[in-house]
Amino acid sequence: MVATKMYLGVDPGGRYRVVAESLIVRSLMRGFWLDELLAGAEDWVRQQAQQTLERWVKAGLPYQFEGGQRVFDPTEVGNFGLWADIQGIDNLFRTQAMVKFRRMVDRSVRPAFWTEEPSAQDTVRFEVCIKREFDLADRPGAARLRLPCPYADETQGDISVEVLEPDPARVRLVQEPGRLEVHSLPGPERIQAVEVRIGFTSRCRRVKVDPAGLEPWDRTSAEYQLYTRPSDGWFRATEPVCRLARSLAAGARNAWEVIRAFWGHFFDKMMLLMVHHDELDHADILGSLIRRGWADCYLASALLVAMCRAEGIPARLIGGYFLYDTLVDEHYWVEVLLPPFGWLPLDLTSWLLTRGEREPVLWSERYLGQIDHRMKVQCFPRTVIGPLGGRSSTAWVRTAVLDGTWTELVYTDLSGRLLYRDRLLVRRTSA
Amino acid sequence: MFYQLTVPGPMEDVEETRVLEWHCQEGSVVALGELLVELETDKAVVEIRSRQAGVLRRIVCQVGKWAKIGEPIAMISDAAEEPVPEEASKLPYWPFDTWVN
Repeated sequence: MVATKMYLGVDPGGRYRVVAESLIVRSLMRGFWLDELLAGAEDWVRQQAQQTLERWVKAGLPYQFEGGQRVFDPTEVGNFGLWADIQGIDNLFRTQAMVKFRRMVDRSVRPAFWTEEPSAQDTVRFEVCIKREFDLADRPGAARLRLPCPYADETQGDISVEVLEPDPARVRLVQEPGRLEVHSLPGPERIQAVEVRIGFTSRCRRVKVDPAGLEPWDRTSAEYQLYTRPSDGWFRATEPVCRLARSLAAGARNAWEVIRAFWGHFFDKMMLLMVHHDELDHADILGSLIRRGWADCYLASALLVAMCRAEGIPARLIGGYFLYDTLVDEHYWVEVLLPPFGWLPLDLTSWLLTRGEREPVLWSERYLGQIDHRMKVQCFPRTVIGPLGGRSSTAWVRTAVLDGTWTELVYTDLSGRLLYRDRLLVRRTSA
Repeated sequence: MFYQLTVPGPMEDVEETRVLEWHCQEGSVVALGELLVELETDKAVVEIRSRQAGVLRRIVCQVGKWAKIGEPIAMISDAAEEPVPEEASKLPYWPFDTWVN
């Protein structure tokens, strides 16, 4: 993908420029110098991040003044870094984020995993701590507060969930696949926190898809019907989506070639990092993604699901978490059903591993049919967290920073009021 | 007389809902304004409150199950003695109010 003039995938007007410069600097520190930050070089990293921001501002990164201070839109900042790298203006994305991401991916499984074939496997037990803070100011009564938990399937199991806060004896808990629900007590506290320690075993496998070995789907099965339905809540295989899928699939000899053609489209025509969801055309969200050319992991994955379904390939959107040794974050990807190989993952994170270039294939197809260890918590449309229980907003900003060894993800509305805050810590308890 | 309690709709971007919690049991008397059931979508929890008194006779859609907009999820009668019909979908509709959380 080659961009020509500066278009960062957001609408003009700058109403999302609400985040203080100091927080943007902390986000850049985590985004580009995570290893150095964890190694204790915080002052040096802060200097690097501050210099980067100044360089980007000089190169055209938009900002505004509020109360005499510069404020930024985290989406514009992140997308600018990517865009500037692709344009040859600033190579920080490639030299810091992309290279380090590749190293993390290499370290995430045993060394031979990516080179063995076929059917390599890797099994790891993880401990994941999640502390979520909810703003209940608008909900004076009891609320259903929800946290993500893994669901059991062939890639993850042996799940344990320990509630650390609040006292589990004082609240009602409902644990279901993909989520833990805490029925909060009515009270004066505006912020309520729920903290859990999750244990589970992840089993990832590599599958070499041999197109000659593909078998037909049982099109009468409930599974096929569910995961090929053209409309799934907000995301729909509308006419523009079907037209695109049809044109890309023309000439493909089997489902795997269709999927590869779809995969290539994201590399050739899309920019993948962040977008403002409320700026998309609500009548046809996926169609507007195609027109705008920018998407995040959630929306790009939803588009890939819809394109697969438009061509009769069962596909589902998966929500979960990266579990790299240094990077923990929320993420979305896709699974497609290809008998006899089963449900195979398609993760467009590969796009970030090459900045949208098709070469080298080693990286651009790293997550085409295989992924490393993740914690899967949502499998749309039936295994979902649903409403989290606190405040919500159609327009929100997200900041991700490192606090000690904890990753902190904060969601606020555009006035700066908290929607929710997650603190995450992951460790491997067995290799 | 028997009635069907259905999934309310239309709801924007929603084709089906999941039964989150029944707040009445089969055989229990339902009062005007009483919370019968909570349904959930991926974005909201929808409370269904009765707009008249009756008896909840049969739950058709259990907790955790999914039902499409307009599909019956329970049968309600005016009195407790009437025999429960085989099928809910041909019954008249039970009036209710919704509250989206």
